[in-house]
Amino acid sequence: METPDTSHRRGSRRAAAAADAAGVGGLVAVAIAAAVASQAVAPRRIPWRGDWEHDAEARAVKAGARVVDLPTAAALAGSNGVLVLDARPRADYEAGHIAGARSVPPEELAGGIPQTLLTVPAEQAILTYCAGEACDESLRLIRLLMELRRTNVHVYVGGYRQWEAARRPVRTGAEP
Amino acid sequence: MTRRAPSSAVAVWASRLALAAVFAVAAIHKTAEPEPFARVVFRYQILPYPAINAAAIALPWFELTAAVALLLWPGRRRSALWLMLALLAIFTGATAFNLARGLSVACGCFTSAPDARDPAALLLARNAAAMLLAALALRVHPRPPPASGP
Repeated sequence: METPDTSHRRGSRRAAAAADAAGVGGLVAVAIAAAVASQAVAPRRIPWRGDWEHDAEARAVKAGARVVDLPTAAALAGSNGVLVLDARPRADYEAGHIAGARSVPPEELAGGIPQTLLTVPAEQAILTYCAGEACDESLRLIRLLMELRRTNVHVYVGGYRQWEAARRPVRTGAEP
Repeated sequence: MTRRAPSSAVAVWASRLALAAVFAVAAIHKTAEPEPFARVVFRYQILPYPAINAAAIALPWFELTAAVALLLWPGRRRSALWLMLALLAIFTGATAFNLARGLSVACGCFTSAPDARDPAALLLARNAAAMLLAALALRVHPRPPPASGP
């Protein structure tokens, strides 16, 4: 049977827990107020709701590709088992591309499924890229690869612009 | 009124300072660079798109509020420790979730750089240590006195 002393201790614990919860709630309110105030004065503020639906990286993830950064892209491009696909227009490819990359330009995609993709084994690791974060070509290529059930696809969102700026190995001309 | 031994008081203050420093340092770069931090939050691939920016804006203020309250607001020290524990639990859960599904992302802990790399195991160990410290600090910090009866 519960003694009055036990009951009192339990009541005290409940009161203390409620006080803790109220205290945390107060701090949360202060933090939210500070965040709102910061949005009024911060020089580098961002909108409360970002346009992630149209973000190149978000769309690539949604399409089923794994997004990789420059070091990972360099490691993939340097390994023998990875097929690197340049999704930019042919003229851009010939002007300069990641060393070893094959060209799958949008003009070729418009004419049906390119032969290069049909011969790719299902489990082949693929790295795709286009000009940079704002380009759409690698996304179109990723969607086509997914339709073809080539699902081991990585996308280098930084693209050729970042690759070149980082002075990574490039080639010019029509050959990989 | 009970008095703590001087060594115990030093330990309590040292743990408060350590926790507050960790949370303040973690918050400052995020408040200064919300855009790259939003990308870090996005890359965790846990929150829905409409919540990503809001989380990136608000999260550092939760950290900073907890740090400041722990040091400078004696009446809210327990609350600050609870808030720190809750934040650490969320960070740890998110890291463990991504580790389990093989997703390697920047943690966003002490830099907003989306391409930074921290080994997930190290992050989990660091979070566990901070949670232990917060739990110990919570244990030695007195509960508020119960309201007296009529």
